[in-house]
Amino acid sequence: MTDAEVLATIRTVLTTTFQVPDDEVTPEATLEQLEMDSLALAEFALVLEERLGVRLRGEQATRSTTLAEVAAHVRALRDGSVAAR
Amino acid sequence: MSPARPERIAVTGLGLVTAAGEGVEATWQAVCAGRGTATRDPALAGLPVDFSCRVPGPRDADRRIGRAAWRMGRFVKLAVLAAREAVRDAGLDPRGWDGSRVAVVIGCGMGGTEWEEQARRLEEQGPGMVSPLAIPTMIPNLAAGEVSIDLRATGPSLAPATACASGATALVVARDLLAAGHCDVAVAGGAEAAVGRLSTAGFWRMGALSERTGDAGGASRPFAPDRDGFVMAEGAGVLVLERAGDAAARGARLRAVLAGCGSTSDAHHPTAPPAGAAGAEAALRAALAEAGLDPYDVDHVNAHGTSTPLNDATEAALIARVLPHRPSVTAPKGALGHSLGAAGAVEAALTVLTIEHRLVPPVANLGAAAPEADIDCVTKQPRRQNVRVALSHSFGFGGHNVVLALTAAR
Repeated sequence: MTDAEVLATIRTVLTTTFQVPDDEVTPEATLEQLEMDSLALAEFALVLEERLGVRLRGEQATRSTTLAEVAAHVRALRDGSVAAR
Repeated sequence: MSPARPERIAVTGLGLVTAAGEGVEATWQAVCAGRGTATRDPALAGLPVDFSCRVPGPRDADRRIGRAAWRMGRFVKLAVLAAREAVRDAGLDPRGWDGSRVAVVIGCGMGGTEWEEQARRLEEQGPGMVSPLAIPTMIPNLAAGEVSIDLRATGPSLAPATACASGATALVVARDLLAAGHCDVAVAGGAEAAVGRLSTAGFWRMGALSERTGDAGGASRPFAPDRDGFVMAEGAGVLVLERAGDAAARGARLRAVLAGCGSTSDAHHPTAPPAGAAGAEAALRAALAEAGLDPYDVDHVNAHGTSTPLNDATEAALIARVLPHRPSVTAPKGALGHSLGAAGAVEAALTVLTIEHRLVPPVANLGAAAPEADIDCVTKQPRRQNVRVALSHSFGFGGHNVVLALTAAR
């Protein structure tokens, strides 16, 4: 799965589950800018785990994390879990 | 204005989301048509009772509710939609009001049932896969909490829980807050979306539910001789209450007056009414006394009428005994099922509409009332009637009895 595919999944989660307007979902946007509070971030990590099979650690999805960074963390976690097999 | 005489409390706005659809008009049309809304429920597949009165949609609810929708349980969403409609109907705009003078009282009998899924996740996938929304979607006060956020209402807010009387209790509490001067506007009612597999199985095990699985639409039949239990329903009903003087001063339409409230407890048994229904009768008499009315003034009764054998027999006997002049009786649960903590508010709203429209909806699925019930149930089609004084009954597990006396605004 490429970064672009991961980002597309993140976009879908944000626009459907969290009702974030599509035009706000850019790679540079921080989770805070998307009005994601701590409760939202915990649910966001859970939904991403269900969709992508990896669990972001708390520090990988804070209010100051950008979506590009989230995607990179997800990819690294997925690569790591593949490599570990 | 004399301090000796408490100021009248007016109903100035209504909002409904029920199995008949979203919006007051959809529900009013359905109850007037006298058709049952229960259908087979895929979520209850395989259970002995596999039908319910679900709220359809609501269409596009999350987008309309907005960015907070993700964190709301279903009963909370229904409450937010009904509250918005009621406030709009009252001609009020939360963007302009002094939110510190607005109270929110939304009763709920059960709380959310999303936790049934979370309990499964805990056992099957472990604690790390339990949603952080497990608690916010479970606790029964979150409808009141989210409505207060949505409306920017920073006055008192709370969630009365008196089981199937919760929506009515909310109106009583709101009335008291207004009378005591703790708020100028009260957004009050009930919300419930508790049609889960466990809750349905639980009510079934109590023997409370209709088992008419081959005829879901005909299953809820209050006061019918062959009634066999209630039908689980979702819904939300919200009313805007204001002191009548305040409402008139801002040019609001006074839709009805909440003239009296009676609240009593059976102090008898958690789930069974006592023979003779002394507690319910005391609530009825208290509501009338507070309104300064006599039993013979009552034109119409919106019965609790759950369609369970015992409730309806007890309630019919109560009406026949205390109101022997045979006021018209309707029971909206025939059409809408039993929305538990929402029902008392939904039915108060319908009672307001009956007064306004001078029209009593029929009891759905009722041909003629059971012979033991010497009451005048409206059947088959709506009845034209000039209703000046109406009672709305709500009784809840726990022995909670609430009777509201609603009167025409002029």
